[in-house]
Amino acid sequence: MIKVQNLSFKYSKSDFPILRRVNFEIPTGELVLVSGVTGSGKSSLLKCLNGLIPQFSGGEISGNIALNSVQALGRPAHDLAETVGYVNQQPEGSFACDTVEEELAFGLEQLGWAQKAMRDRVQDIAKQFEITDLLARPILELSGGQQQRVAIASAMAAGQKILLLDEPTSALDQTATKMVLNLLKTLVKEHGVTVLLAEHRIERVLPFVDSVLVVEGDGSVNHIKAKEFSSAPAPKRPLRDSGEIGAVAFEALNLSQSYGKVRALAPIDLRLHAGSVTAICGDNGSGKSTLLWCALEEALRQNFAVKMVPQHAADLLFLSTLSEELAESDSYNQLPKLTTSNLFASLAGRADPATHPRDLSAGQQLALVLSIQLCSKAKLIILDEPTRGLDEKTKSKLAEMIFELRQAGHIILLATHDRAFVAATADYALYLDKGVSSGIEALNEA
Amino acid sequence: MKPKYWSAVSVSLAAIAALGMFLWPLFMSNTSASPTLLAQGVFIGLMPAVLLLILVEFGAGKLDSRSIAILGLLIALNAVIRLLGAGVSGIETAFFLIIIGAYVFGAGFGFILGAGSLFVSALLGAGIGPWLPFQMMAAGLIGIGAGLLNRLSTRSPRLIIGSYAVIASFMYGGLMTMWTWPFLAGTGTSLSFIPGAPIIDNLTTFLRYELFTGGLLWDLGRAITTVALIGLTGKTLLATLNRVANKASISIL
Amino acid sequence: MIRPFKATQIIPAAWWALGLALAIAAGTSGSLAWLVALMAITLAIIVIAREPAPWSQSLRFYLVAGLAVTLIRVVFRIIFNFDSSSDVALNLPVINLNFGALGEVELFGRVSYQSLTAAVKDGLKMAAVILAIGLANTLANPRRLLKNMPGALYEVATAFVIAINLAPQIIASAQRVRQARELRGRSKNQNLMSSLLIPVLEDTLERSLALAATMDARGFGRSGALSKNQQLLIRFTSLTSVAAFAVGSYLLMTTSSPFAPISLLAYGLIGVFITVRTSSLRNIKTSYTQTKWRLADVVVLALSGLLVTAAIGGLFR
Repeated sequence: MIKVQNLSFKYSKSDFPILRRVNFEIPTGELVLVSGVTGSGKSSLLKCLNGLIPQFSGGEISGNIALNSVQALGRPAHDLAETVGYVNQQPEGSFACDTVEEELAFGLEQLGWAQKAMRDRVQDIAKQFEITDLLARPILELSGGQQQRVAIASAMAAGQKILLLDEPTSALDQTATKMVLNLLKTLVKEHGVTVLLAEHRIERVLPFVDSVLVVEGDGSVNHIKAKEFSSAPAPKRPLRDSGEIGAVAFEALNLSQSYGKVRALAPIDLRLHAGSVTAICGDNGSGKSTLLWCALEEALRQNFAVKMVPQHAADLLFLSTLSEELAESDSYNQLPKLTTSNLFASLAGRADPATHPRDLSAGQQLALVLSIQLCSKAKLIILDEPTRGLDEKTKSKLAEMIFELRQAGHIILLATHDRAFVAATADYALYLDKGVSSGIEALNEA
Repeated sequence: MKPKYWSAVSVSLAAIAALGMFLWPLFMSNTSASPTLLAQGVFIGLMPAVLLLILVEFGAGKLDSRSIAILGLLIALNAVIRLLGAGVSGIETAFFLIIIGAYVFGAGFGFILGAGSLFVSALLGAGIGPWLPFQMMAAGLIGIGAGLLNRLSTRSPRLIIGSYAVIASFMYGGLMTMWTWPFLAGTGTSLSFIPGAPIIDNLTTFLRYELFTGGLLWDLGRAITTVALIGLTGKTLLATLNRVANKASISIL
Repeated sequence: MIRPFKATQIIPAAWWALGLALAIAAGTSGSLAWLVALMAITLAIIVIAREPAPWSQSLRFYLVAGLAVTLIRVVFRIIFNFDSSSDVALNLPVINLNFGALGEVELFGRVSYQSLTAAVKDGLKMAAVILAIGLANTLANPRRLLKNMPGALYEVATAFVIAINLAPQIIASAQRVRQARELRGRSKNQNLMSSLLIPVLEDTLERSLALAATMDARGFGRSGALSKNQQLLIRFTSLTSVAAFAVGSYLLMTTSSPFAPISLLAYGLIGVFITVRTSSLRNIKTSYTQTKWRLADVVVLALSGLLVTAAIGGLFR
């Protein structure tokens, strides 16, 4: 059981508390979604519960936190390790050990378990999480979903009864997400674990949870039953005006890719219409990115005006402040000053120009990279997983922006495994499964 | 006396012992029994022991998880740069990161960073040989020096770091060449060291040896590359690392 | 082939002790016969015990390195020769090399058999040392060694393990960033290092700090305390060991009897051992992978000890 009373927390750098007089009580054995817009304090709330705040973050904290009757406020994270487990977003594996087995044992080692007890426990936990066959494998060889399973197992290895997860499914595809959510449901139902899960992808998670903690922009938190929760409406397809989709403006035929003997992409023909949005859908590893990169190469070969935003949008950023990046974009594309700045503002609103680009939120970073790439008047715009890490509000803004580009006659090609987003924005969809496509499908109008 | 001072004394003594294990051809006298043989052999086993002592002094119970994570990151970066850079130019390219990293995070961090970078890059491809403990110690000493630099308040950190880089490049080269000197030139050639000769004589012979084998040229190349890299990346790198040090409130060892 | 033992049956630390012992034995050896014998033994052990694992493939590297060193030694001898009149093997003209302010040196001249054999012997000595380290490296899995470090080195070893895991990810990150730069287009304001190094650093940095958080969340960082007496002991042994190393090394180089310096150095080594063991008592952390020393390991260790004692005692001269 988690009991929070009058919790307030303020980062040292900011003027306003990010959490203000929070009160809630979570009974044992409940699966709770923690929701709120980016920057609202979802992550901070979780970190207050396990001690990472204020130990790692600094700042002022006050109030009362009781985890299964253990007083938790202000105690360092390693003190609370036996009570609560914690799982980060795992971007392609930040693990402390080589193999799965060692990673599972890591927490037990820190807590001083005897070697025999550790060995037994590792076998038990591997069985519980169905990763026994992975034990001897190096973690870096596993898929994203498998790594996430290992991370959760490792966090729970000492038998903790409370589990906190910070956006665990953001990098996972549909299949892997469902697997993780089922895993969490089993933990709750069969082992009586209390699970708090911070997520943007509310529509995926809502069916699994019992209740929702909504973190508001003013720092307060509301605890609602899942049935009563209504999230922001999914981005709706804007009514299409009479503008038809134009003729085929870009053709990339026979795109295929092989790595040695392995064929990553079967030959695919792409015919993209002016003023249209084509979405490439499929699970991770199905070849979506490969297809996009092939299309990019083909477009460059044809001297077609094209710009792409890669999966890790922030890879394009290398200067130290937001204003420098915007100015650099203006000067490189030989545009009048503030062009990129205005584009950025229309996408992401206002932001402190002195912010370090890496300190921007995921949505702001995407907006920055988009404005940099869009400045160059490209006809074909390629986006690789643009919705990753975005909350619903920013996703709607992105959908609007894509629609505007579409109206202006651009060709948009994007890859995503977000079905709702595809339904809201795309005219055509191409489904990939292990590099093979089943053809382009025209989506019906709203 | 405060524990910090005892640490400093320990490490200074260890550094002196280590330097002795590099520079012994200069100090070896004619009277000791089978001098060359014993020194060459024994020191190979002794250097790891001194390394161990300093690593324990700087590391045991003194690093929290964030320091370790950043240490791991910088060591990995160094190892990758060194392995890739060596293929391209054949010149040590990883020094600039050791010096800058040590400057930001302190002397203890710097030692582990220097020694670790050499160790991990040897593990990952450069090859482990009897020279490795000596390389680790030399790089570690350079890290300590760079770390001590940050006590000097200055308006131009890059200038200080750059000047140190030049000195450090020649020092590292000098130490490593001095170590290989008895192995490659032995005794009895006109470019060998003579046990018992005055230090000046042996030093002159050593310089001739350096000149002939191009060692000085290597060192010059290393110095130029390191300074150039510091010039190119110094400002942003210092800003990034300082931001990390503050954000993660890493205490300086 | 009959295999009396396999590399992984002995713990890595024992192999390293043996390797170092063989290196010291070779390093103190002056006779060609002993050198060849030592090298043969080393080679035999390697060939018998080594396993077909990726970390164990570098025997060729060590043989080549040893050969290279021997060749260099001989060439050096020939070039920087002291002209001798007796027992001439190679009759070469004398060339004078001027080092400017550093004086003049005579090159080549008549090379005696004695010089040549001395050079070969010295070169083989270095080759034997290299091969001995090669034994340690091909028979002891380095990663396994890292996981079996004494507790006092746990933090440092963890940093090394993290570094080894991060290296391939850094390379992948660098490739991604390179691609991204192409997407954005290059400008004069970018220079190669900044626009490649910094994004890679930032990207990996986020990951490292996230890793640190999960480490702490699992209990990393709990530490016990050492008693006052233990702290005093550590302080005493580390200071005296280091002093013993410094003085012992100096005496080794300057006095004629090796007894004093060797005993000082031996004291230093014992001191290091005590320091590390006592420091390790601080740790609450237990080890999942640590294997206990078994009879075979102790035997190897004892052999190493014998070798070193013999070497210092002058057996291999």
